[in-house]
Amino acid sequence: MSAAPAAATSVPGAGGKTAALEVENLRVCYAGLPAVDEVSLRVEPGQVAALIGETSSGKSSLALGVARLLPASAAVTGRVAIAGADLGEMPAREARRLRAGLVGYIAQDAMAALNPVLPVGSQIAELFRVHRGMSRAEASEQGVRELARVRINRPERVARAYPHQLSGGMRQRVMIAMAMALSPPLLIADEPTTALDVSTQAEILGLVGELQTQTGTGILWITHDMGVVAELADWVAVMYAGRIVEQGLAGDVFDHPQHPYTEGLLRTRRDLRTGRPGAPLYQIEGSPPGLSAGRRGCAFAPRCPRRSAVCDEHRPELISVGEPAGTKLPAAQSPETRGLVACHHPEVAS
Amino acid sequence: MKAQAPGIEPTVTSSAPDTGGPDAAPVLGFESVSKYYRGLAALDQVTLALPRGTALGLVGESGSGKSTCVRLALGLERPSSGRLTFAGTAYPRSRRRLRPLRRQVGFVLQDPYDSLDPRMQLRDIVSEPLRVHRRLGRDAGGRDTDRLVMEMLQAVGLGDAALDSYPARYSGGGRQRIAIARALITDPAVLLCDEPTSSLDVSVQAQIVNLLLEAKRSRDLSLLFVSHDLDLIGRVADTLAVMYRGRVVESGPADLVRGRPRHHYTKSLHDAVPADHPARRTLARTSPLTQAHPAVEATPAGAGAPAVAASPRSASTSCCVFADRCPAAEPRCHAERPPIVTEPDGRSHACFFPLAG
Repeated sequence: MSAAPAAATSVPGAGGKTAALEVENLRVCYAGLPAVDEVSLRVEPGQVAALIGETSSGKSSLALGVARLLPASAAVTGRVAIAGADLGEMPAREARRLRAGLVGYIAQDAMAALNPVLPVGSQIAELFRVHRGMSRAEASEQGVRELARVRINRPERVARAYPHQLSGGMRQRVMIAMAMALSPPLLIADEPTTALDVSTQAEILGLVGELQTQTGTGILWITHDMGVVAELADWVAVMYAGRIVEQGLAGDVFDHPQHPYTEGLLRTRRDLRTGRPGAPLYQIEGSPPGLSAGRRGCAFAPRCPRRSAVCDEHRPELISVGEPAGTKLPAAQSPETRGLVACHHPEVAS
Repeated sequence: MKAQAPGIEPTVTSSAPDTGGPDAAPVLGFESVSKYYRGLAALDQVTLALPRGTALGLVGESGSGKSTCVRLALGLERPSSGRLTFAGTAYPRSRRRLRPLRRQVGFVLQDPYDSLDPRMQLRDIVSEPLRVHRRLGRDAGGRDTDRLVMEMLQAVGLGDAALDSYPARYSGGGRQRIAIARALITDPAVLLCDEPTSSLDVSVQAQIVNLLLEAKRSRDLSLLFVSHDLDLIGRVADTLAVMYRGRVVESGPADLVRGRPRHHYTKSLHDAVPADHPARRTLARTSPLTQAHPAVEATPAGAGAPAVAASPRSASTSCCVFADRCPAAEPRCHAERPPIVTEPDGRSHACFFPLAG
């Protein structure tokens, strides 16, 4: 990696305008245990930011925390601004009224997210009746138009269908239609393609890419699949045990992963594709840690091939690639500040 | 190249040498097996063979019939026509006579959160097949069983697990290891793996696959490995069978099918795999699979029918099942069922206009 992160290539949408999403020092705790630990990130309008992580890395808690959709039992601190508006500072009623216009949310399990006893057309139409004050007939027509927008054939017929009558890919299209219906400045996609076939996933990725180009919505795409990152993301943040351990432009992270965990994820994928049939697969030892309080040292250390004594003692801070250890970053990371890593032994530039 | 009449399908066999000699019967065989649910074909004249000690991969989308194959191989259901064989002998029809055969067939399912009883201790979960198959003496179940269970847990990398612990203590990968220990304790000849890693973390997936490959090697185990992930299955299987709407549309040695597909469906499946680098994005490219399905169809809600059928199955057998999504489809493809063509390199495909490969 060239040790000159300051000479960043410009990222579309970056600049002085209001970010689609700005997260500063977000912490989400369940029963005192941090699931998301001081995460800061910034998504500009028109950008696709991917958040990659495994079970209990905190990626879904982050997504729900951003949309203020977590239950009251979760303690959320930090600042979240969507297109400049902080839902956390508003009364709950006001936040609920504004949320649908600010942030679209695509859940992993569309079957669970959709209402099973209402036709999907009515569910989309409801958004327009509640938030746009349309009449029943207008809203229902608008609902059909939204289904057509996500390239569903014969949308009038699909609008009358119940979720269980649709295939997995079709249900996910309906979710996307709902999420994008009010043209929100931010779209959060929480592993929407994980349960789908590879071909349906390709459909959905193509569709979202196309809609995003049309609307300029900022997207926070949560996934555990580096392939999805490669297809869609402008930049990527890698989460592990509640913290961002690496962040950078997608191409840079693929070419020069700094953190051993990122490197392992990429190598796992590469080996799957190019390895000899029947030969053992490259594997990262161990499994992701659960929630724990007061962890000393680096959370990845027990699985890390580069582990040394310092890793067990001191938690590495997120710093610019090439900066000396201990350099503190400003709270919110703009995407131009690329190449961030939290590791005592990052990959040395070659 | 020889063409065969439709319906008379060559056997899909592994290219790896069969330890039982060239004439030895495959350990598991499907002979022109069809399975209908409410008149719709979930499997349509499927012929497969799994020689001992090899891995056969079934790949395809939801609704292609992969899991139906697994249910039939487990003896949970019977084929509507055709027959299944185990070591050359047809599956018995009676449940009682099926029992000794089932002991020879282990299984690992997709979701380790669903497939382990949360109220059972590890000791009872792993030893359950022994009890079911009455492999324990009347007074056994004590120290000998514990020893056997410990051996199995050791073999799957859970040597330090407590026998009185419950599944809730284990992560997804840990639970899948428990499921593998349970599957292997009766020392089966065949292990059916139905998407065994698709609900696991990426970093844990390789560990589980390596465990299965090691079991295959050290126990002379034959694997029927079902997945929709072409990359993964290409690494695990010796032979691949690509399924679409209940038919095997292409089969042969894994590296050939994966690297140089002949059938347009296999190629489309290949093209739908996300890029390996942001500089090589592919999904903007038009692939027949990325076009929307023609219509919403109510899925057959019958017992055993997949709840989510990506492809509504047609009852018609007189056409190529992929014709309506195929970029190279000609009128003939809509009017005739393509015969299975076997090539000298061991590959077979059912396509009138195959790719150069």
